[in-house]
Amino acid sequence: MSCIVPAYNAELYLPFALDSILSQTLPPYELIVVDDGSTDGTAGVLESYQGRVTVLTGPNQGSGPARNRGIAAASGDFLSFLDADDLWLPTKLERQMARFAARPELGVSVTMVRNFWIPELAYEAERHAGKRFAGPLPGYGGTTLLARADVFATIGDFSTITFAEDTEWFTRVIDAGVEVEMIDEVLVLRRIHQGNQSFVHSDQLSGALLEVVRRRLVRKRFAAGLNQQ
Amino acid sequence: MLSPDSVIRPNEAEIASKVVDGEAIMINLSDGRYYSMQGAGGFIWTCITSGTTLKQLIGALTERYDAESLVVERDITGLVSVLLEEALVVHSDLPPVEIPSTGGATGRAPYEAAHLEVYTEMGELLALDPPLPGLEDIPWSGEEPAGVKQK
Repeated sequence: MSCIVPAYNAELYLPFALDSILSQTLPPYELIVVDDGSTDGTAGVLESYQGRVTVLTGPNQGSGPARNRGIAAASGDFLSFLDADDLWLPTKLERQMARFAARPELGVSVTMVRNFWIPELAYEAERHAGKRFAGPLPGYGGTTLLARADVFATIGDFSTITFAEDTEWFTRVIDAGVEVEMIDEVLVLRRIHQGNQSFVHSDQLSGALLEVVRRRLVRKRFAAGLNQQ
Repeated sequence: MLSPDSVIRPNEAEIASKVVDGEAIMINLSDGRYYSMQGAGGFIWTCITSGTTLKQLIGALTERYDAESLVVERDITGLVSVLLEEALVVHSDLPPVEIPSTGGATGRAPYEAAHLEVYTEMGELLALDPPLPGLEDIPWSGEEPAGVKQK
């Protein structure tokens, strides 16, 4: 099983993410970090993990293309992904792989997520306290998913709809009838900090989601058209 | 109660939308419901975007499309009621923007009534996205997307 971590200017939190992977009760066979053109100390962080991670480098292209480069380089029959600023709880991979063993037809496993705020954003945490965003949330995203590698071969890689490339991938997976299962337990912690892409670019996120929905409508209508023939 | 001169505009607090190739596509970012309006729907939504009234919409549609005014009035009254129920549009105190006349120079296009298609299966896929300000305490439905099992 391979683990892929896209990293862009991730020096602050990448060590925590990598440590949470390396301390899994069922560690991955290979850990690939795609340094997506970082200009901070990410490369230095990765040097300190030499021998334990495979590093891919290249010009900045965004997290979708970065994940795709990791997919192309990975050799595992199962692919998992973690964002460079998030954390896995220690039994995450073990729990997910147990589901694949129990269900041969399973294609993709995801888990619940809990957000946590950096100390500098304590006022934000306070604002969300007791509300849905501070509670366990279903995590259909590129930081929880573990999939059979052949799902990517059949469905394709992540698209380039920036900020929504994982949502878009899930719509294709579900529309194709791939078995997806949610483990109803928080096994991933998502760090909320000033650099969160989807927070910084909320207008673009709306635009990206509209494009995801437009593509889904096209697929639905195409499938309905085929069914009528 | 909807009167011919009530001004309506998109519910910008919760709705993201765009018009592509004559089709209006909308998402409610608070619950993940998404919508489409084809036929005259793209034109109707474009008119609604700046604020409009039922009377203005009926006038603009009968100018642009080859349809009886009474048919358009019936269709639009029904459609706008649904748009209000789904919280896609809201009443507004701001004055409406006049819809530019097309002048009928190129002739009226064939009329295809717009219906609102409603899709509810994407809510959970969008649950991780940051909420818009003021939407933090709106709960998701708790339903899994169609085709996903829960363990």
